[in-house]
Amino acid sequence: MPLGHLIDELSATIALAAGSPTIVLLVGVGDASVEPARAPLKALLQAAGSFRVQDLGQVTPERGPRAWAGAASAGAADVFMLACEPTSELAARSLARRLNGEREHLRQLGGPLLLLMNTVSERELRQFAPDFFTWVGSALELPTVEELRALAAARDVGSGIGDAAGVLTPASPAVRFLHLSDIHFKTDAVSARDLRKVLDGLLRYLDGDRAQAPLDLVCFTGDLAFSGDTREYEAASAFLRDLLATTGVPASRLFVVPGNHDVARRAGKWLLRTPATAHQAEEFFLDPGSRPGRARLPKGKSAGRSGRPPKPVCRGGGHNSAERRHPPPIRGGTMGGFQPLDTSKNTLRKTRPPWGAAGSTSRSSRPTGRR
Amino acid sequence: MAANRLTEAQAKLSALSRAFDPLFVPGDDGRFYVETVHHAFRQQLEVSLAFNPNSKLLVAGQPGCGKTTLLTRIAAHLREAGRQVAFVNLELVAAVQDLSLLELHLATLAELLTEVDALAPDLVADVGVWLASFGRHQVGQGGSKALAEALTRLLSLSRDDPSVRREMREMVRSNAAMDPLRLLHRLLRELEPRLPVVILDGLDKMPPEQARVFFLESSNKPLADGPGAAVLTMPLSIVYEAQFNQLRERYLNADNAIVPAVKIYTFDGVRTRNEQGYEVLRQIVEARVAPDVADLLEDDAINRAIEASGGNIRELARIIHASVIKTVIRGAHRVETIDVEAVIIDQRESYRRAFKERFLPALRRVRDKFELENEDDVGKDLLYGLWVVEYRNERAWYSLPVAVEKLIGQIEKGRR
Repeated sequence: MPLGHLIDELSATIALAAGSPTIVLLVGVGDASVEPARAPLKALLQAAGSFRVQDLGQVTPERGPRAWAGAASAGAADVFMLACEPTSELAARSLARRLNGEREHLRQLGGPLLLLMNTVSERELRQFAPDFFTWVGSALELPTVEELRALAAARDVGSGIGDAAGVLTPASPAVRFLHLSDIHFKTDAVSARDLRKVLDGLLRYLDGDRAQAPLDLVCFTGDLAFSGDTREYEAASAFLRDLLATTGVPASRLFVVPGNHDVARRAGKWLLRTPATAHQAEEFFLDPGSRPGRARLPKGKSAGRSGRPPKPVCRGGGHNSAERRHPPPIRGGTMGGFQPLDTSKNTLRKTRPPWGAAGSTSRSSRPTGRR
Repeated sequence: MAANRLTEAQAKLSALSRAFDPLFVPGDDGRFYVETVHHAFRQQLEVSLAFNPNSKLLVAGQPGCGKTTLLTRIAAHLREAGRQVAFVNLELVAAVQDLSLLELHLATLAELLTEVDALAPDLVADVGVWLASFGRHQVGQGGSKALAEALTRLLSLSRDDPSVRREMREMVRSNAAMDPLRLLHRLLRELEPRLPVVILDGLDKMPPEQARVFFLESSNKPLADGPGAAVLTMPLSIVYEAQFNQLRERYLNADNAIVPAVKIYTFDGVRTRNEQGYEVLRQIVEARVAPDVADLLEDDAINRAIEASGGNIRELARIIHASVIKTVIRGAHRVETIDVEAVIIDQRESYRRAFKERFLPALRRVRDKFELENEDDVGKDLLYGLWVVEYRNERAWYSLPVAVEKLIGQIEKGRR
């Protein structure tokens, strides 16, 4: 269809609709984004019929027809315009579910809606939401952005480049993150092979998706390992390196927190706050491996001399403790609000009740001036 | 050319195009309903409902074949016959894209409560207690209408907020006594003297994977048990699932659940034009046209639009709507065949953009033998996308709309 005819057809559609809801699909052939077409098209329509055109911006999977109807209120404009380009197949599926489920809301639109999409988006949405397309009043081909701009220039209506973003366009670009957890790396051959199959599939998928939907962050929320064993972390480290290489996410944007499977319980047997039974208490004092950090305490600071029961010296930093054995496989950030335990500040002591008799306090908690 | 500057002729064309927009709401007063449409199918449903007050029936069909209009009419007929009818439009009250039986039961309960005047006090109290458990209702407040309103508000919250849906589902999962199905069954039993019928529309909008779980994989088929009659829409894809047989055991007319297109052809080895089908569709067009604009549509144009629609009612409306726009561009005041032809060309180009190579063998088979194969779900895709129109006599047969026939003709010509 010649470009001039398209503007005529749209003008006729808008005039005939006279503020009642109707959907016009405008499809840009190929995979180029139709988003830049909004501005010149708006300028052309405003000039062609003195129409009040409201640009609603870009559709996101979270904003289906219900949100469109909310944004396109009656009387606000003669025609509304919306670019509809899901960024990945997943996003297309998600939007399609909304198109299917919320199409009743299309009847609440405050006037005709021009829905702009390219052939790729049209195909994907038609596949997952075929019913939605039967509610479209007419479907027309959208010329290229260059053609639209050239016509706008020829008609001297301004190209509208740099026009304000529409009301449905997110204020800031979306942050895309991958959330993984509970991989439970195991070292036996069968589990490792099964896991490899799944993880290779994930990496292939992410590789294919990278161009369309690049990731900003990767969050791993617990249970990398199955039993906190060193070899499990070696496998986990290798996978996380592959994952970062595939997705292009820098290591500083990998966030990992431990889960209950990430504890080497055998090694951490004595990471107890308080022995639960008399037998356990005896075992603690008799087992030479139970207090590996004690030997490192500087002279004069041994637990025995202070007259208090021994401090749980293994916690949070004895050189053989679980944490030391299993350092984070990749140096990364921390989840919002969670800081790694900084033993130098010894924050735990301040909150812990004193071990000894009533009134006794640890030295570090005494006011400095009274020393 | 804004709305208030339309000439009288343009205003008439505007009224015409709006009456045929796919988004146009015909209203439930039956003014636009043509009794002869889907006559046999409607009769079959109504006979089932009349003979068995506990019938559970299914209705599927291609998008735009007239399911909702048919059900609205059946509801009106049943009400006239004195039966208690709850017409639940799930699309309006629930998030169909994430629907569970819980919301379905609540929506049905709310609709029934809206319809009834008097209700046993203990049931009113128990529904109140149920609502109070979500902190949405004070026990002892109001009668059935107030409860219906409170339920509708809760549904509206859950439709818009997935966390409310999760909260409700979790509560019912952890405490079977909280399942509103019990309340629904009690209410239906209480209404039994008035032969209650629940009509559930909108389930056909469920995406295929979700529909498979909802209808086939769960042991609790929606509204299959319990007192009273029920008519449910369902996605067409279910009919083409291998486990569809399982549904037949639970629903009465599962063998004949598909509303076909209006038969503009008959078929007994050869396809011939069916004047009766044309007549029914002409009546549908006339019913939508106000008398003062009736002469704006030429008879030949209507006939060509009917042929191009293949007998799908929404598609017919869409073609006429788009043809009116072509008329305005031409600067004319009467819709002629040339306008319909221009729409068919736009339609052909739409199909061309969506064309996939794997469709071609199946489309050819429909054109040459009027049979549809569902190899790799191609058949389902073609039916949903209206590439193919489904008709039924005793058995199903298929045909291509004019624009699709033109497209595959062009594709074949280009390859020779």
